[in-house]
Amino acid sequence: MMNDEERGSRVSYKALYRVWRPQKLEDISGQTHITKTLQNALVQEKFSHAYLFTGPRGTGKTSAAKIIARAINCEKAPVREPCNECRACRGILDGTVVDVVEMDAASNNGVDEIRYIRDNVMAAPRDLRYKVYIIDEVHMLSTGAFNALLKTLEEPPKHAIFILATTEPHKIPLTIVSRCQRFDFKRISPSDLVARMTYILEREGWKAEEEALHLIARTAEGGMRDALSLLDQAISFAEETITVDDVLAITGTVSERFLRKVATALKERDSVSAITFVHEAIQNGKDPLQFIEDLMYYFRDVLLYKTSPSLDKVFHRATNDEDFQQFAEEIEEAWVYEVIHALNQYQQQMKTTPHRKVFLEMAFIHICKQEKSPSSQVVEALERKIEQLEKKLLAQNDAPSSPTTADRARAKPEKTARARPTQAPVLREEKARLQGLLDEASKQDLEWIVERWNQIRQEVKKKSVPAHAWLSDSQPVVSDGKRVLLAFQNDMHRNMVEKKFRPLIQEAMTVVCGQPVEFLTTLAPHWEKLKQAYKERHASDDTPREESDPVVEEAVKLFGSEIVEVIEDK
Amino acid sequence: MWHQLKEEQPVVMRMLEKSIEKNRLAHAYVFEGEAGTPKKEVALVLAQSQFCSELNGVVPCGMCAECRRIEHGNHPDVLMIDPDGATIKKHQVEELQKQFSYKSMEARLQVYIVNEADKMTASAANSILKFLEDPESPTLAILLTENTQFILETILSRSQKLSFSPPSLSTRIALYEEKGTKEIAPLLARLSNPFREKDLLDMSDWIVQGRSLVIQLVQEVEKKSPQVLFTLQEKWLAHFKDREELELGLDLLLFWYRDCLAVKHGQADLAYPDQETLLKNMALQLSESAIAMRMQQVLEAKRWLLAHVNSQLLMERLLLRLQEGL
Repeated sequence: MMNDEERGSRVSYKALYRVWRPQKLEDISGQTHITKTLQNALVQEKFSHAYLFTGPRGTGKTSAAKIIARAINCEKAPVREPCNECRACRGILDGTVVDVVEMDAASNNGVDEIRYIRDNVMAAPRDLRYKVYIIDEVHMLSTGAFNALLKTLEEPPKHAIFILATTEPHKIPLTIVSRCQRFDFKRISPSDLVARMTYILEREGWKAEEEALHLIARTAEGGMRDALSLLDQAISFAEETITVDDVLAITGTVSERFLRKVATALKERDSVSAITFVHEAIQNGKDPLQFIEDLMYYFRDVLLYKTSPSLDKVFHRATNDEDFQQFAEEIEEAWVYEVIHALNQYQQQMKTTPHRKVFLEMAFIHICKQEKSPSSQVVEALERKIEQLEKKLLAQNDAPSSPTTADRARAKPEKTARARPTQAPVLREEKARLQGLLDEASKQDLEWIVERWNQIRQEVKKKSVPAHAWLSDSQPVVSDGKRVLLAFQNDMHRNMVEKKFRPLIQEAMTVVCGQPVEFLTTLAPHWEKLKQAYKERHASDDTPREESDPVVEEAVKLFGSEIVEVIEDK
Repeated sequence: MWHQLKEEQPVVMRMLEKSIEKNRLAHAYVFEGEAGTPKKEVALVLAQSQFCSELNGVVPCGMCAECRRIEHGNHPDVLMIDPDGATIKKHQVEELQKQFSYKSMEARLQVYIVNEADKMTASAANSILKFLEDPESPTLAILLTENTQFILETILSRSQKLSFSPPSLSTRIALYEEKGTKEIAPLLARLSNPFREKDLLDMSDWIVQGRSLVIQLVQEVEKKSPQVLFTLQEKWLAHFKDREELELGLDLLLFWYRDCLAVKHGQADLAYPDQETLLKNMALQLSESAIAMRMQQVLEAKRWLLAHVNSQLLMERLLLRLQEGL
């Protein structure tokens, strides 16, 4: 066959989709509803004088038209399939026969070209039994051209048939459509695509991972030509066997594993790692737009799974394995809706801007910062009530608990007045507290409190503007989730906060954080030293050095070596 | 040239090299990548690799007559189509088809490169379809575009798509630093691409000034100072005069808030690396969603700008909104 010759020639390599263009109706994948009808029509010689083939790209419209042209002219007709061997079939395949005209309607869309057809169609065929006019991309004909075609299309001479093919049937005038037998080609299902690709690979002697083919099929979105183009590219790219990674590299999509990682981060409201992942993906040359779409499809699959686990045949990105099931079951359905909605919104905006990465990041932050609850109004109302209750409670508690606060307030000035070893009892308590805090503190806790810090300040401001002013001198520097250490630049500010505003600030923190958080105060330079000492101690944990007096060590840690003066008892 | 491009676009060049080695070069490619990625350059060396008389493996020499003619656009079998005005018209495609219906002048292969292929009119795009799928003689088509979304699906399905990755930020920064713009190198690298001729190096003084304006402006915004409107009037609008300049100014502003976010997340690659203390302070004051909201405001302002909104009103609105935010 001609294909073999061409495949043999080194000079002109031909794309797979051209080499493997179906030569028989039965080779056309996934369109049995059409091929059966046509085969029967051919055998019974009851074919129409005008066909309209519509459907998305790469579903076999032009191929079917070409096959029909051969089948009705085949010397062995009536047949179900063209033989592709007789003089007529070969002539049509070579393009040496003048009676089969394949016209590109996009380039020849004027009235003049249609008039030419109209004048020519009257003449009897030269070599064959039927004249066949294949008008491809017929939606591009001008209105005048369509109308010029109408009469010919309705009553052509017995020896002529028309086959119109288009991807955009809505652009065809109804008067044309009503004169044709219309066939709608469907998108080809992934399994059909995989079957055809496997067949071709076998014939060509290449190998591919099963999963890689599925990935190609999913990306092709029902177009055989898309699938074969991708396969072509994958064959060129791959070393021996076509692997999933090869396909991912070509299509610019990310792996399912990666999508899961990002989705999990979103689920856990962990915007930092979600954004780090994005950074990573873009660094690897992935397109943000493609990425956000993949993610949308992933969540769509989650939603489908939640609707019914048996819908996994229409999954787009996800495979229905155990990890996925577990992931899907842990998610709230309402949240998935919101995520898809948000992603979709940001994707729309993304298309018009060069700062795609920024949009992606914002989308993630937006999703992570969403409230978990479905109807926020109800929750807000409840929150307000709880707040009021808390205030009452705090007011009651204040009276008995004030001594402790006062104690601490008294302790502070002493400490700040350059502590001496003589003030041991009060100090030791403070020291132990800070030490405990440092040991239990974690970065997450600090981030947690820092995230709310602004809100806390706003809350304080609502109650007392001076308190807010005094407080703005400080920064939260370390926290273990229950306690937080505030470092002040100025001693006076610290004293004011400690003496006058402690209950007020304490309350604001409780309100914002949703749980009681205690705060301790220190001065920024002290904190620096404390941190340094803590780090040194941790660094030296591995290599134990000579042991010194624990009390002295603690004191040094707390106040720095310049301040602490060690006087031996003896 | 080939090797230089290979460094810049490893994936694309590897793909092409392998295709040539295996004699599996497709008949139609779509090169897709941001402005500034070397799409045209790759298209030309690819053409050279098909004609060069002194090929070194797959690498064209770049010196022989064939290579030089292609480089200068004089080769009779390598045609280039550029948009005629705003779009690529149908008659351009028809001319191309006519040219290609003659046998090739010298070699067996004919190459055409369509620049900004997304700008083809609907009829031009449809006209090229059949020609792309079933050319009569051996043909290599290369369509270049910044945006595949505006290209017909039917064209895409007939060709192999190669995506060009933008050059990584760090390479760009390094290149600008080499060119002696230490302070604003990270900013320049974000705004433009040093590999291409259209970069902002000539404007570096202007950007240095713009940069300090941004820093002043954000500080005033975050302090909720009413002074900000005067700064806008006296300095900002005097500096960022026309629409394009204002767009750059908004970009600078956007990068500032982006940095705030980066600092909050403990990331290192900042556009304003020397302002880390200030950024840290600001990041502490603002919650993550507050920063995100500010970025959104800036981006929205950029969109309005594209719609030719009065620039003073636009900026005033933006600043007031930024100040209102929590």
